[in-house]
Amino acid sequence: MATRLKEVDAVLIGVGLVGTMLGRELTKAGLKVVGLERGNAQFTVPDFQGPHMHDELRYSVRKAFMQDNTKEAMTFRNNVNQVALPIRRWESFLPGTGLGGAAVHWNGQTYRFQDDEFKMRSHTEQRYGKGFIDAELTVQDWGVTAADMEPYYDRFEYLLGTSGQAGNVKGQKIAGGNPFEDPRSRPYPTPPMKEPYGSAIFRKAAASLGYHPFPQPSSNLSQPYTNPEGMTLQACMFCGYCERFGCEHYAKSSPQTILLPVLLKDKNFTLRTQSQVLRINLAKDKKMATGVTYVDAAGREFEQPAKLVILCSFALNNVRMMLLSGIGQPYDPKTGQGVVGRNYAYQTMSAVQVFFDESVNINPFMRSGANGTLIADFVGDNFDHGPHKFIGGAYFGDVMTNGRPIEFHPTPPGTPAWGAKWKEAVVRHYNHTSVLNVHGSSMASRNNYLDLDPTYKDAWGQPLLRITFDFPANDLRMSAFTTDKALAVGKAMGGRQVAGSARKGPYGVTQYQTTHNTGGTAMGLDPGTSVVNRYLQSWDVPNLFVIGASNFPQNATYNPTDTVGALAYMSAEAIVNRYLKAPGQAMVHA
Amino acid sequence: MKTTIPFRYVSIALALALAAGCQRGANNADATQARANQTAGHPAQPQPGAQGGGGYLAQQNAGGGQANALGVPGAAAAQTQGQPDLQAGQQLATSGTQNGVTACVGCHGAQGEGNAAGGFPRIAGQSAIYLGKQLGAYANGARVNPIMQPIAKAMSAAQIRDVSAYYASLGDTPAATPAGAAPAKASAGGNDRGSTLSAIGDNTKGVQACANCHGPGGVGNPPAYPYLAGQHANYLTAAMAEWKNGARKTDASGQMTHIAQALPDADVAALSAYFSAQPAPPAAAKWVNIPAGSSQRPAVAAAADAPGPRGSGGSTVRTTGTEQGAATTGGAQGPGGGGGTQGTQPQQETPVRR
Repeated sequence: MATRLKEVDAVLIGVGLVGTMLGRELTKAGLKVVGLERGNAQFTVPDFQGPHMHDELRYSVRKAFMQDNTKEAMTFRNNVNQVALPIRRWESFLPGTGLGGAAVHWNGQTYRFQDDEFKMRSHTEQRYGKGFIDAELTVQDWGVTAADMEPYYDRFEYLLGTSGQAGNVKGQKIAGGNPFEDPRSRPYPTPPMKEPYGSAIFRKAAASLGYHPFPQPSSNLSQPYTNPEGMTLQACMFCGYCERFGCEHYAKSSPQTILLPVLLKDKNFTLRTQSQVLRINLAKDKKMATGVTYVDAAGREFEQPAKLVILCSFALNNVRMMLLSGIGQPYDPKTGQGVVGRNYAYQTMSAVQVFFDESVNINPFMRSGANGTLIADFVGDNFDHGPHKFIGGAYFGDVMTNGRPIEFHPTPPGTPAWGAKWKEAVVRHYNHTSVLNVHGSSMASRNNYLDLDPTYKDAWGQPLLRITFDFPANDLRMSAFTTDKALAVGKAMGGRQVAGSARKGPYGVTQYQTTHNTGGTAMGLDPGTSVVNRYLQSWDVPNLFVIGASNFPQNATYNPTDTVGALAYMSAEAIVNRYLKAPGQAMVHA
Repeated sequence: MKTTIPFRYVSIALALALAAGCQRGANNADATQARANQTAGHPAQPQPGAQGGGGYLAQQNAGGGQANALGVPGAAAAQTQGQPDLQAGQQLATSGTQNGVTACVGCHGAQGEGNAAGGFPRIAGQSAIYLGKQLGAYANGARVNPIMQPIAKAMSAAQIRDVSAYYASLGDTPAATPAGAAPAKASAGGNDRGSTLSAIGDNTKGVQACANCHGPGGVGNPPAYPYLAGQHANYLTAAMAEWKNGARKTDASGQMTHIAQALPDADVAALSAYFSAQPAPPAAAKWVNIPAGSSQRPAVAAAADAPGPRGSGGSTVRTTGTEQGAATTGGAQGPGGGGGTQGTQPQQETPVRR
């Protein structure tokens, strides 16, 4: 029997980046807020300190910061004709767990999405005609524009202290920045990171081909910075242990360094870690949420009543919680009806390796999660898609993140996978290889979706989330085109050998690609094709807000975190300024 | 002369060794500069967004721009082309020069062991790059010190290189123990404030563990990060005061300034006592440093009772790992780097169809 606790004003499901931001905004507005986090509490000191933080086996190979899939896995298949099996080991993507969530172990790559990508369907049809988008793609508009999002991007980047070079401030183009970016209201809070050697070679080669290289915006900071919440971050030390690790230097923007200590001091906020939320409870008429039920570390079940429920866990878990709670109509691929689990998308990745002579020392270990150089010439609709018959695009550049000893072993094609010849090749190429990442968009397809698995259950007896996904043909064409462009730049970099190939299907979960899983609770203007309105308020249960990359109707070219943070501030502002004045009311009428 | 090297030193040095080996070669300008830039955090390096934006390329093309690369002449000198002359370094250390460079041994001791009472640091076994950088900083005012500044200003680039290399090669001298050792010994146990700050830092002050950069117990992480273990307490306290009051500006990241300003005097005293009680590490010049591409391997002697197979000469044999059948090789690099590459990428699994 669940113990019923005292009602609070708001409950957060997950205390990661979005949970911390919403906790702060709502407590500031005077609400009593409880944050439920399934993982452990963790802080820069003592949890992220060296030398144990650099234990690559524990954190990178064995995924110490990730969701415990002995308790809570996901199942996967490529299409509806297969039987999905549980993912026993995270490889393709890495769902985080614990206080601070995935923002503890992210790389800090902080990009804004482009206006054309917020208007993916209307913009594409306007420029290329109605028949240009493949019939299988369920691409749609977000219901917001880049201009709508600008104030929230701005506020979020100033919370993070992001280091970068603006390319367009209030319409004024600035040399050295990204010439394709939409206007920003002011420059980045801190100057760009130092440019590593491999990135400098890329810059020169890309510019020689007429492209427009610019420094990667980074939330591992270039210099000390104090954010508007009074939190001070330090400068990055280029140790090369960002993604999959916590930052020991107070240099990476994570909830622990940008906001959490401020929130935890607020008397209106209560944090409960090791609290696994089982479901969102609904009133009898299913039109309002009454709170959540969770299990604590001792196995005791609690009901936490709340006037307002914020679902802000990892994208995939947001979708699962909606399905477990019976909120919204689940998507059915046979009929195309239903919205929860619809529009699941990913990222279409490939890579190009440039193998140099031994006289060129790349020093890959002296990196940070986000201090490379890239080009946006093939991002979104920055080029004419007409002749190429696909939508979307990719950025690429020398944006290497590390040269860690266990997993960074670039070897040219033809090298044996083990043995003396492999070892020789590793020694020969370790310090003389530049890797270009080709980071491509991912379009929603009617064939790709999320639902509850009919067979496999978690440690609490609840069905696992089932992922049905394969790369749409559109995205493979996009990858072929952009990877060819990256190969050409790789050759211009002067490597002795350049290797790389476009992404090919089928999608598999045994090799890391990205943790940019998106969609499933899409935002939009039409309740027939979206789960939440443009303020991220559930169409079905108005006192429930769902926030995260699960709101993306399809995935854009760039990394998602900046947009997730901007959406969180956008939604928080709508809740505080509008929703709380008329609680329980829909802010947009369907 | 020890014949074995503790494994922790070898493992730390391996990554450096793979890369740094080439820096000793003839055509080493880019490697040296790239590394030096990064480790020294030189503020004058062109920022990517700045006009020109050549990054390291521009500096390399500038040729002979070694001094610019580090911003401090001493550091450049420490990396001056050609092998350092250890005998010349020793000569300078013991006798000084006629143009005003006093003999180092007068204050830093016959073997670079320093002087606890006088607060003169132990410099034996400190890395040549670190020592060269400090001398350069004294010369150009980035580090203010009335005794060292005139000495450093009188030294040539070659002299700085030679004397830095000479002291880096020392290190089998007894660790700093006189004066200050007695009270410090008590804190070596590991339960006091000093060892806590060293190992994990203090979240309330936003201070990270010293170990993050200076190594466990302050053993150092050459060439960039000096050892603190076995250093004299008086010197460490004075050095923290330099960071705090701005007399020392050799850390462009600002990390040391921040830490020194955040820690109260009592914490600095506890840290100084803790580090001075730790045994000093082996000489930086004796860290394993293997040229890239060579078949040379460190001789890692396993303890006599250690389990596992033995290679020739008693070294442990480590096997190349696979993780549940997936080779941990290929270009795995950040987001998706391993995805589209050819070569040694793991084979795509054939999906199960039923």
